[in-house]
Amino acid sequence: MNMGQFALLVFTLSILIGMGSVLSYSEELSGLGVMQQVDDRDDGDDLIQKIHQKLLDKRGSVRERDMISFRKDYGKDSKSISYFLEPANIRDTALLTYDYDGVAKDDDQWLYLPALKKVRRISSSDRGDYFMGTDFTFEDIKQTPELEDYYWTLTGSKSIEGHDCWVVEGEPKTDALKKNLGYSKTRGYIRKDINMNIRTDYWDRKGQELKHFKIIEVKQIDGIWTATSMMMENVQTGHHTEMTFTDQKYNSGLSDRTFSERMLKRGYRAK
Amino acid sequence: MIHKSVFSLVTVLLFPLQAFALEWSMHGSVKNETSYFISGEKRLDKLQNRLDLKPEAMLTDRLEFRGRALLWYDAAMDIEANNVTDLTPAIKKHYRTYIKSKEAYLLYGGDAFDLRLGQQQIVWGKTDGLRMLDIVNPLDMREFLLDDFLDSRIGLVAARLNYYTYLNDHEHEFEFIVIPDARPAELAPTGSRWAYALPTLPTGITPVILKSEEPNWSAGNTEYGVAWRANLDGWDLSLNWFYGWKDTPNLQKKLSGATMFITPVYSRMHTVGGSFSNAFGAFVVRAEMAVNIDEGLDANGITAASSVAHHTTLNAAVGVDYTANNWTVSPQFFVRHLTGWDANISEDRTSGFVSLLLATDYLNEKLKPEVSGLYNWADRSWMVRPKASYEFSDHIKVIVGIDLFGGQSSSFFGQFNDNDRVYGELEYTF
Repeated sequence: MNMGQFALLVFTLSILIGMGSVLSYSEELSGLGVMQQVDDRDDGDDLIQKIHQKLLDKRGSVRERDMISFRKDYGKDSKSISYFLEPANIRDTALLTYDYDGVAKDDDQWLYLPALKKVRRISSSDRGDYFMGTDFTFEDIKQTPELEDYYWTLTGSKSIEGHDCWVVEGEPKTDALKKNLGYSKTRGYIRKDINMNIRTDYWDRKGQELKHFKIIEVKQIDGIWTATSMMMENVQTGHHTEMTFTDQKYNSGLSDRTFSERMLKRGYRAK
Repeated sequence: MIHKSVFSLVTVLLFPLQAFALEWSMHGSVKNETSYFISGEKRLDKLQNRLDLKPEAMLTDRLEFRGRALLWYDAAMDIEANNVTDLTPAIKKHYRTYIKSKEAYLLYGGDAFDLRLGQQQIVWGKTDGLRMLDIVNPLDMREFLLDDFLDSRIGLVAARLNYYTYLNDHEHEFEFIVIPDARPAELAPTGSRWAYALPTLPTGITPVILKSEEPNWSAGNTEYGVAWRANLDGWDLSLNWFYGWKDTPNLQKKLSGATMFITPVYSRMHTVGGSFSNAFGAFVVRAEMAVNIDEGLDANGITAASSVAHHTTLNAAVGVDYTANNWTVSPQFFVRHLTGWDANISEDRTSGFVSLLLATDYLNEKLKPEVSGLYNWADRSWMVRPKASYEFSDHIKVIVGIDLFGGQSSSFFGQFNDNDRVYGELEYTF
């Protein structure tokens, strides 16, 4: 390599590095970019986990549920099926969801109600509807919100419990979306080291403070950062929901048959 | 037959189960249902204390046992003074105690099929409240249509094979059913408050009900069914065929002097139909259709030949579920049309119902009020059922409600005008 070629190589590398820096910098400054990184975070191709829900009202009344959930990714889409195992009054109730990426197509959802012995097609359009009495809406229990539905603004950085976090505010793009989702604004705190949203504050359609979401514990399981305990508190009702996740199995090669009306009707029985 | 079912349940439960079960469980509930008639002769309708048991066992990785037994004692038959004096011993016996196996079957889950053998409930169709395709299991109609179908369906001993296969990237299900245990609906006993009204007879004619020959367990009475189901391009679709017995009898009449001898008769029929459902934004549309070929129909004649007719009937229903702002609104429209109708047939050529369900919840689904109604647009009779449930805990729930009937006394719902009632239920589930 002569000096001319060497100089050209150095120049080219410096341009590429510079471009990378510019790209990286502009991504860091974009709320959408941060949220895209959250969306792209490795969460496995499939996952089985048990979920324990604790529903607590302001008078101290507690209801507890046990579920098992299965999820499998199909590119950007995913399918999931969740079975209620306990208590007996909702045992065998099960929800099957085909979650389509983007907003062009509504998700498909089916609910099995053991009291009717029937699988019911249900509408997924009311994403602000609360899931089975919890403080999580159907939108909240998704991995990440539909990014196209919000204007995302990166407002800065903040340390949360010793973790350096991006602060990203989301505002639903239209009044119809605000009505549908039940929120006028969200503010999320995303850990920079693992691209995980560990806290979110919600404001209702009238701009009043509504809910606080918090991940209490994060662990690395099979090399994947996993929330193992989280909580959602509704400050308007005083009700809150705690969820703990156990027995995670990533990338076990779940069969497509797992996500079917057949399995909804059969229910889950531990083998 | 009842004892046979209970015996089979107990046998499977107690004898071999623990010997080779990997794991077994018992869920169920203890429940009190109390109701009081607020129209007609006001009195205690029922004071039922119920035990609902759901035993299950995993026998191997692929083989499971699932069962359900329901039993109760209704104290109203003994402590309500009017019942003690007014009701016949047969009616009191019918309502006082109930011990029945509702389901007791083995489920073998293969890779591409499920096989269920034993007493089971097989549910077809997409509609609520009224049954068009949901015709496999007959009903126990001791309380007309007020009981939950899960409780009123009579479990039948059947073999059911569900086979699943992928065609063009879509899963298709094929269901094959054989039911040697043919049985009719169990109607409320004559003279009880939930008994169907007998046909109007000319003045001076006395009716005498003769014993009927009901379909029973025999090779010749065996019922068969086949269904196909798939989700194609977002549409949940099914096609169904069932060759069975009409669950309710037709009344064959024979006039002899001043006596009308009435014999309930049962007949076979083919049912061919299908269903679909899909979601469109906040709306879910669901529909089903059932064509009953050669269905037995009551006619106005007074001879065996002229009092029962057979024609093809078309039965269809469409319903919409609208969900928004934590409210569900579900209207349904049912229509029944008789081909080959003539003026001698007791039914209208075209008849049907509309129904409406309004439901919501409060306090994170602890409190669930709802009101449902059915209106028979052919005879203008109706039934309205508001109720509310409240969950005190994971295990304790209370329900209060009212059942109201209206219409002319000869109409479908109006015949129960004197049976308006208030009720309360207290349930502990485990």
